[in-house]
Amino acid sequence: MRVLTKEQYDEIRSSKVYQMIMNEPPPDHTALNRDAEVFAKWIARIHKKERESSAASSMERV
Amino acid sequence: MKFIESGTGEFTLEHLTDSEENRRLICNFASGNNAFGLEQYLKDLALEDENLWESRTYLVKDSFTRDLACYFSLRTCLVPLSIGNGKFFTIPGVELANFAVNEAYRRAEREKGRVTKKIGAYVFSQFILPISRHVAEFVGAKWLCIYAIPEAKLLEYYSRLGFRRLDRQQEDFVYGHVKPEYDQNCIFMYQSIKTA
Repeated sequence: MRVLTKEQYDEIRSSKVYQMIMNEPPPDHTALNRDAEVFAKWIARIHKKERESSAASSMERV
Repeated sequence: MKFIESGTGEFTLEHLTDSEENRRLICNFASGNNAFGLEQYLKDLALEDENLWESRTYLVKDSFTRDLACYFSLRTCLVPLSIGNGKFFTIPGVELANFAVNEAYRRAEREKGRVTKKIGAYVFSQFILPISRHVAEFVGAKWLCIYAIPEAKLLEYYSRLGFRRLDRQQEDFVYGHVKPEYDQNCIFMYQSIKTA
């Protein structure tokens, strides 16, 4: 098993790089969420049309 | 797929090994410019990685046409970071090892007069992030990581997905310790899995 002493733990936690990581802002998903939403709406509209057109053509066959 | 929703209504998410149909679908997968490696991985290596439990490959399928829209592979990773004096620690994470949209799917959609822009953002937001967050509920995984192909447009694209780069010194440290030869020239990027 891995044994990490309190001193080693503190050394890591107090390091510059660890502090940098801890103080970083969370990822900015503004653009991501916007893009995903645009696509979600678009594909939902396309699929709706396709389902309707597919249902219409099955009705015609009947 | 028991741990997350297996689809969004418009797309379904399946493991490569879920069905015979999936194995047939990957034969028609085509990657975009300069990304033949991603196509080759899916066709020639993904199944073996699945069998060896070294990576899990997911297929995103159009729920109306059943066409393969894109795929991605996930595996765990450890990122070493230097604290000086030859000492380092590691950050555990999930690596998005492969992620590609099927150009054949794009082409088919284009022929219908439709442009499938932003599908990557959709898949990342609807499937990749939720899976990574779910994994992090059960196993320590702080970062979602990628080794990005070093093209300005791609790096900008990944930034748009929320990824960032380490400073040069830490980046070099990562490359010196865990970047395999096949990822040569690729650029390490990461983002926190937990956002709140």
